[in-house]
Amino acid sequence: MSNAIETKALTKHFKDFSLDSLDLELPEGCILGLIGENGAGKTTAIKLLLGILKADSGSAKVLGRNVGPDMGDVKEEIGVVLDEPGLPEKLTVRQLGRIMPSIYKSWSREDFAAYIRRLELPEDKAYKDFSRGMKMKLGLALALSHKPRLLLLDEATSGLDPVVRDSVTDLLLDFTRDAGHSVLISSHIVSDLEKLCDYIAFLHKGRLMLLEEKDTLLEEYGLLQCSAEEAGAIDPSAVIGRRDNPYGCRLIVRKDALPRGSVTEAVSIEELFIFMVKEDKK
Amino acid sequence: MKGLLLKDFYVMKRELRAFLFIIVFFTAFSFVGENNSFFMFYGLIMLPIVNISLISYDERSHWDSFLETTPVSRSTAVTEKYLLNLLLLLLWSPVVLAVYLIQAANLGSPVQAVCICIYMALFFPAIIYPFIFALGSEKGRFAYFIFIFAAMAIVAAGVSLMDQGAFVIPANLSLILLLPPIAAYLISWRISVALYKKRAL
Repeated sequence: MSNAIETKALTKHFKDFSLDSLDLELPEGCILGLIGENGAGKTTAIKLLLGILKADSGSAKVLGRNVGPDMGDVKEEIGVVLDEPGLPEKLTVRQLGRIMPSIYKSWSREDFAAYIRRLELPEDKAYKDFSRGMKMKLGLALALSHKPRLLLLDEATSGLDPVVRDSVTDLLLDFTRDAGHSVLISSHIVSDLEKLCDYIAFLHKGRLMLLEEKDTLLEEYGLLQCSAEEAGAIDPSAVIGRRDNPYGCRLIVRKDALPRGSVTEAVSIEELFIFMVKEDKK
Repeated sequence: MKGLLLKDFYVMKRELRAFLFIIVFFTAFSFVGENNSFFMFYGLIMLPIVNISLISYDERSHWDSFLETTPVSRSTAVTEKYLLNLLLLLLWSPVVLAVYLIQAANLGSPVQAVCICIYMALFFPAIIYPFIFALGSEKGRFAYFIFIFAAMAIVAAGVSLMDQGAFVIPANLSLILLLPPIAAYLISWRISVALYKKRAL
């Protein structure tokens, strides 16, 4: 299986922040969730993948082609929704539907009309009068209507109500039914990604902490509740994160490194992320 | 390119009505009183400003960032704005020419009017646009104010000289005189493309 996205030691330095040596792989046909708190480097990573920012070092390939200044052909095959979709405030859906065919060669008027109907968007209302949810839905309709092979979504589900989030989730699941379609979705709302993703990446302060298949993560790690003495007896290399409370400890542990017979509870991706970030801060 | 132009015409129609009204108003005002031919050319000074306002709207709505995610290159984005300026000139010049013929026959041949139109619509934006594309419309505003001041002063002085009959462009020289603004516009376009490609968005 080839990779839709592949980065090697991708690095970008700013005055007060660095995205440091990012190694990402998104196999074709999969959904990768890029999880990180605000300012972790998610948007920087997506901008580097689109060639909007120039990397200081390292390399990136998108859909098998090197990221560089002339990415017009590759961008024909990428649908993007940024945190702020970036559409002129007074334009309507109908007007955008007339503009976009000359921006994308493969634009499908039929697909766009179908997405607008499915997402129940008004055709003649100015974009500025749209709610946040409607804006994101329109962004998605635009991103999907030129038949992309890869979707890059930056915080596309943040600030949406549960009903809109659900319709966005459905759209993305429909999109990935085609084995050649892949999605990279970044968010700081982990619960959204937990439902959707095949792969999970944790980004913290510009550094990739983890990249793993979601099912493997959920199988490999567990939540162990025990006393402080019991926690002390566990191999430190098995402990990913630890929280002490008056009744004992809550540990996120690697199950394979625990003594036989240890009983752990299932851990959520959100708990795993929070424990790992807090452990990193110690 | 066609999509970008269409988008700008939609935005102009909805957001820049006030600008268009001012242009029409001042052109009409040139009929009032004597020695008001300055206002006849006012629209030509305003057209590049309409274009700068469109760039400003693009930045405010993050349309420039949106375009970065599409196959549209930065070179195409800049070229569209230069082309739009020419289209606006093409649309408005017949109006200026008509007004000129109606009320200012004593100012010289219509070739002069065309010459003035070209200078107004090409030479000033040729100076201002590279600043806008390099720095953005906010930071480039300083250059924008210099442009307004210089344009007003030059037009007022030029028209005043023409009103007094002291400044007449020989008809056979007018076409040669068009070469500098056209050359400046083309050079400016290349500079803007190069500068915009380097700008961090």
